[in-house]
Amino acid sequence: MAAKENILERLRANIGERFEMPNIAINAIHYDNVVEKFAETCRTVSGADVVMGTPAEEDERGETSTVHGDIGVAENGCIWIPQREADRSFLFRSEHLNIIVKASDIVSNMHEAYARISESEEYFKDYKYGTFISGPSKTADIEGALVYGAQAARSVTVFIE
Amino acid sequence: MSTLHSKRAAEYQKNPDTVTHHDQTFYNVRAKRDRMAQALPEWEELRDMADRIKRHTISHLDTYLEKFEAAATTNGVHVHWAEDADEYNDIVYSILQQHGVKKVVKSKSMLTEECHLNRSLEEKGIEVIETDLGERILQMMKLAPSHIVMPALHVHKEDIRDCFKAQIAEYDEFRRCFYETQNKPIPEDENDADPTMLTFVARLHLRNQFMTADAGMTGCNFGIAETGDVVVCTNEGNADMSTSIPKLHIVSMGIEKLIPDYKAMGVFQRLLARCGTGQETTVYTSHFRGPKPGGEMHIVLVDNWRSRNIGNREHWQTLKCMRCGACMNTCPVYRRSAGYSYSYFIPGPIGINLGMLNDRLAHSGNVSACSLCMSCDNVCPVKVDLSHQIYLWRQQLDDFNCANPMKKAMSNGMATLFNHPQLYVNTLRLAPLANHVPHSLMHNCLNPWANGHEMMKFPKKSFHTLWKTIKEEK
Ligand code: SF4
Repeated sequence: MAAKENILERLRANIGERFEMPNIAINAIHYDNVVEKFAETCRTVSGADVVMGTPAEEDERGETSTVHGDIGVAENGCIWIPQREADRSFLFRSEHLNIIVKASDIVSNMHEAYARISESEEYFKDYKYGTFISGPSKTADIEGALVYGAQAARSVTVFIE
Repeated sequence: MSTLHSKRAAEYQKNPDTVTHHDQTFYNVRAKRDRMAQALPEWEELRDMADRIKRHTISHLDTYLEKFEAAATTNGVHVHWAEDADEYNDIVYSILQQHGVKKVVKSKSMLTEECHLNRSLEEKGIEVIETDLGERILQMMKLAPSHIVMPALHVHKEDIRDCFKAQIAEYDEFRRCFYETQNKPIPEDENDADPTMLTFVARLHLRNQFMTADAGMTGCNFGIAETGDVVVCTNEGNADMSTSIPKLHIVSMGIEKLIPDYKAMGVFQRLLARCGTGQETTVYTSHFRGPKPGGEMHIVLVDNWRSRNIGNREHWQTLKCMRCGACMNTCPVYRRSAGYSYSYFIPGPIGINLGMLNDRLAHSGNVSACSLCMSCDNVCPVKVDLSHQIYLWRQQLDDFNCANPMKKAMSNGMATLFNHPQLYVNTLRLAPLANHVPHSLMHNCLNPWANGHEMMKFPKKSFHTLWKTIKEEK
């Protein structure tokens, strides 16, 4: 462990002025109709389809997979999906992903979303992974042309219950 | 004596269409970033907070690193420390060797570029597959990245098609499959280069790689000290594909990537994509906090040049950078000279500064690639004072014998002139004589400033003389 000691030693010797941690309080954007804004962002920013309601039946894992999201974020269409089963690869391997979110779980911005995650004891207990997903996989790597379905889901439908 | 950057940039200028296209492509990204900034009333508040959080974290890196290691270890992650690139490459190789790994799928990481990991592993017989589409294209074409966020935007789709055709054995089959899923007739012209089709071909090609790899490697956008999370942000989902199929996950992380907690994460998540690509968010913001069931997760913390520069009073703030790429997109010099003109693998304002911290003798030529317009300082989400630092590096060139002797002679001459008012006034009186200097004398190889510029015409009477006459007339 010489490397660790050497690195820490150099840091201790070299760090100059030590700055205080600021109090993180951002006067962040807030939407009165947070559900409507979330639906709009999912369509326009994330590039997902939005359905008010529940999917008819939960599809078999395969071409299409269905998953429950715990938090929806209106400012950017992100949906928090903690890992709940041993294999998470279906989230990325499926051609199409249905994500179900409760209207009461939609917040305005990422600060609120992260506050909820920190407060919850449930996440990272059984499986040590969680992700925010905002729409289908995208790329613009070939001459800047936006293409959906770079590697993971090619399309996403968000169901708001 | 011109720098390597200016020579390469001059070469790049020979194709004005390419330059204009490059310039506009990245200016559009800059314009998208502006729209993002204007849409959030709290934008400046966020930047200010990001700057202060980074100042705090970087200036407490010793304690945060220990905190992070402890949290990650509790989560069941193996944490390794590497002082330099060689040690890092050795650690990664030994982990792979212990698991009998033959093939690695890898999502984008600037740190692995910095340490030349791919080359080092390939020399030892391990196959490395880049999975970010842009990086994969460059890897197949044996090219280096030209930008840190959009690495292959300078490559033409026809060249990508030719490369795929030559190197992806199933190209024809994948192409046919694309048109079938789209319910479109297969074009008769086999040379179509539709980006959507090419992306689909790459998708199927990479899926085969994910399925057959023995290990996945990722970089790290943010390490959360309190909880031990590694946060990776991508649009394609390739970091998640790389790590949800193979059992082994290795994270490469520069020691400066730490932030304190989830509260801070909210600030950086909101800034990263808005600044980098002008999107509200990346498609995936993934938190890796431990191994998969039955799997293993390793984090390699890499120093390389970071701890020895943290005490540099003038330049330590470069360590705040979160590699969003905004400073490149806005930089007029980067946009018109492109990534390969710089000697360091990261170009643009941040690349100039990182190159100097890593190896100042090798990369001092880049400090000329700045017009001091300061646009980068104004877009940087963590307020790295990029142009000010480039200015300071220029002042220090002499200390390590890299100053340009001609510029230095001129600066000394100007200093004499400006410090002696009478000499200045006399010289000005003689200035119109310069109007008669023959064109060929100005436009020669000794005077690079004449390239693309015409000599100004000095008026017959200087402002000083006019001012005096007016005063006397009153
Ligand atoms: S210096 Fe600032 S603008 Fe440039 S890449 Fe780093 S964080 Fe982004």
